[in-house]
Amino acid sequence: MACAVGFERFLKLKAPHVADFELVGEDGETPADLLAKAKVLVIGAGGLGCEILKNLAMSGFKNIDVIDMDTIDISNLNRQFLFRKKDVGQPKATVAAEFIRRRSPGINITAHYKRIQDMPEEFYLGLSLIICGLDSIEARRWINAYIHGLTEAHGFDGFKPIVDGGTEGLKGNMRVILPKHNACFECGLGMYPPKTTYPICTIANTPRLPEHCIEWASVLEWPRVFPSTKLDGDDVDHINWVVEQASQRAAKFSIAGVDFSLAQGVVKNIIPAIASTNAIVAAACVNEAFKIVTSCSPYLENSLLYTGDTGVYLLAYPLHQVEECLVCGQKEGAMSAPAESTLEELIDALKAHGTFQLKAPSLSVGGTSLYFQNPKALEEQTRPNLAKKLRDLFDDGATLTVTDPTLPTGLRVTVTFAAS
Amino acid sequence: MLPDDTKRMRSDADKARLYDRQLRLWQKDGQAALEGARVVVLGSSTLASESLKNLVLPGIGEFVVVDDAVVGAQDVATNFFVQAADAGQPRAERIVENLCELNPDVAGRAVVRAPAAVVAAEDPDADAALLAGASLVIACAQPAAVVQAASRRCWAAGVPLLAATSAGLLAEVRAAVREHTVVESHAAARPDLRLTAPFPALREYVDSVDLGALDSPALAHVPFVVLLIKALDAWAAAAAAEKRALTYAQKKEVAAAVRAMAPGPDEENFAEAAAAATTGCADYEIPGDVARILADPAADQPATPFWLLVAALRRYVASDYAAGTLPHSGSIPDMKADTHSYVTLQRIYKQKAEQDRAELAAHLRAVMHDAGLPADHVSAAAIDVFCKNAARLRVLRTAPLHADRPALDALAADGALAHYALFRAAERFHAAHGRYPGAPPAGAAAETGTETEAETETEAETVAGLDALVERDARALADAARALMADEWGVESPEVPDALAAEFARSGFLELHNISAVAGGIVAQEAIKLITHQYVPHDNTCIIDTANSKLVATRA
Repeated sequence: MACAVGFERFLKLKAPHVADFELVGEDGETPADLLAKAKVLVIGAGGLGCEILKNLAMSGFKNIDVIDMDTIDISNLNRQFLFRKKDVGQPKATVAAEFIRRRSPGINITAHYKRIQDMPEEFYLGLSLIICGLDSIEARRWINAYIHGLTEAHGFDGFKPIVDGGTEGLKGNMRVILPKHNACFECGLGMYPPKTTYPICTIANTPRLPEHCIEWASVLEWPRVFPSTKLDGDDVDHINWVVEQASQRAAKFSIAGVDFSLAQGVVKNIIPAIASTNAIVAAACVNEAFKIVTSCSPYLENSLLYTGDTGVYLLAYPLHQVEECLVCGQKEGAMSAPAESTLEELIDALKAHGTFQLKAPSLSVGGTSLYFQNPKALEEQTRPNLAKKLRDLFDDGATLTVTDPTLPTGLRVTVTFAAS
Repeated sequence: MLPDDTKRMRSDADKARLYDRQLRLWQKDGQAALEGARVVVLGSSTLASESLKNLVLPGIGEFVVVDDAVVGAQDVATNFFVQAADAGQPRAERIVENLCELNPDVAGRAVVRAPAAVVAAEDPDADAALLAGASLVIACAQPAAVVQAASRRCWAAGVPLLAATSAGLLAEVRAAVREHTVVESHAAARPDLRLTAPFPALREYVDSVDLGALDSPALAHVPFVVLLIKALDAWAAAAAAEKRALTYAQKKEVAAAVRAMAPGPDEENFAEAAAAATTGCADYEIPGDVARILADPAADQPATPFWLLVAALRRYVASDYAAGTLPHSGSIPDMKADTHSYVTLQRIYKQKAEQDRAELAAHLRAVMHDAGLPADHVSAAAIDVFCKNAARLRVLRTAPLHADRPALDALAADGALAHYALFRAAERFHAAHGRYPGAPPAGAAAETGTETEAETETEAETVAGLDALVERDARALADAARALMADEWGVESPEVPDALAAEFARSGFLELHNISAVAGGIVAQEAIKLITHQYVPHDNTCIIDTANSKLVATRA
């Protein structure tokens, strides 16, 4: 009695947890056919991405696209196992795809050394499913909102399940997002705390921690001394300069603890990352993709949490859709701000707001530009508005259109004037 | 392949860059422990290679893979570290070669022998020394007899053991650790500020700050520690109460007193002081985990540096000097303050920590003298780290994997009892029938995938035959699990869902790559925690059921 091995066995036998598991569908397609036909996009070819690509290849997926705008750094090699020392400096997507091609020649894998925003709509429409292995909240928000827009515009043809993984040190999480059917990435945004920032007045006047001195050197001193050069966290000379400046300041204030590793960590906002956590989360992601595509078992509804620092904690739980969600809910935001406050203050409030968490918002009202971050000419033209009071720019209860690099489409925000 | 000095060319600077993202988690000490470790793995299936991948990448010193299996179709389909061209070759050798390629600093070796023979070796020969001399043993996809024999041997030698099984959409990871001590647990700890009973230097500093003499900007930069101690003083004086055993209502009164002292409603430092009142005005308490360690009989006759330090800590805590407190870690959280006040305060706590360390070291000398040990038996660095982490010590002792009866309460409470029983019942099925539930009988071509020409069955007949076998085995497995629970574990009305038993049988205990990768990730992370003695390993079972999306960390 010969039998199938690996994943094939699971596509041929009866499925205990799927009552109507169809071994041959109405159109004659078997689960194995669905798997072979599926076109999966992997976003990110880093720590999670390398694992995801390996897992897809070992699960019978035949058509894979991988996109990453990054190149390989030496510090990737402790976990990004498709790369070797000789690959440092090469595009991650290209090298990862080449490795998978060598190991599994039957797989059709395409690398894109690009930003996700640069791929055309037809590309996204041609996908079956997306798996995200990103460390950037911004990129995850963008793809989530983009795919929801695609679903809205194209109905089922635009419906692309997203399996999203994330890790930090010994902790990780996974989400199964079915656009419009369950909680989207934005619904769970509150679970990701905003990046640690230090108040400028502390950095400038009352430093207490080595981090404050590093921020002083990198955020205030660097642009002052080198106005035309951007501080590069990967450039050893740049970081050494920051360490030197920060150390002098720290010595002046009797603060201990400035060193290269901490400086680079603060400047680059480095998140610790190890192979084992990535392995757990990436494999959980691809397992869900495998179940969604083949229907051989029910998929996870809809979130998984792993923490390994103090014992192990594992939890599968349903995250609920947020009614007011800016992406999958009513899509309109509301804010209150004093009529006497300035447009600049409103922009800062939009950035700091827990629901919006915007990066560089541009604002307009009823077709009139209030402030645009770019192009340069428009920025210069609208810059005087920053200092103007809100009541001089629009009426109480006006609905502003807000655009931001984190969102693929505009956002409508109604601003009511609060008593100041 | 042996460790070769000429191969290990990496300088410290190179390592700092290569391992940067993990050094931020376990620092140089943890990395050195990893690089000095030798891990022995029984088995070479996907579980083994996925576990090892996550240990080779961060730079484990040496690993040994013990297995006599040869590469077959199932391996080529699920194991990333073998290829089609490897068919028929010793699997242990193939994965060792491919894993070593991931990190030139790691030495790997294959022992092409049956794990059963190696764990059963009675004489203190090379095989027995292999396990006893390991830093850690990992049993991957091994039958119960091998796991239990390994557990007995490792238990006797004090070597931690991890065991993992992966069956289709299901997996489990278990640990058997006789005793594991952790100083650097990285566990969350409350800030230790000693507000209700300030030590002399802190008291002196607080008294030296005259809030009445400060203008508003200066007031806005007084550290909340000073504000809260002053508010407590004022409250105790007004209420004629002791600063001990404050009720929640009394803590709220202190918070109100702080707010009343503020020059305005927006002062951040006063807000910090008010917010800290509930936790900061609580009596000093030794954390429960540490209290249990202090009471542990292992500190009566201390045999290791950890327990010598605990014995010293006992004397320290009982001394008049400490009066029931632990040595201070020397660190305080950031708080709104001007630089000078904060740095001064920080120095006061640091000096307190140094004094505490000196006191503890004196007790340690006495302990070592009593034990007839030389004064330098515990290094100065070890004393430092111990004092810094005194509030977060952990000791782990799990059940062995050769125990007769699991911890039913924890398994039942976590809803994992049926899963656990099914894993054990499947092992017994294997012991009785020479195959796992749902797996075709030996002689069938499944294992190697090399069909003979004589076989004329059509695929449909094969699948139908296999479906029938799976159904039969699922029923037998469910019955066996119920019998095990009822007859041996004394579970009244044992519940084993038929669909769950069917899911086990559906797998034939063949591995799916993804599930073995999840389990391998957990295995490796537990291994890293055990080897580095940092962070806290899990006591002691993880059940992964991705057919029902039930993933639990529990105890058996």
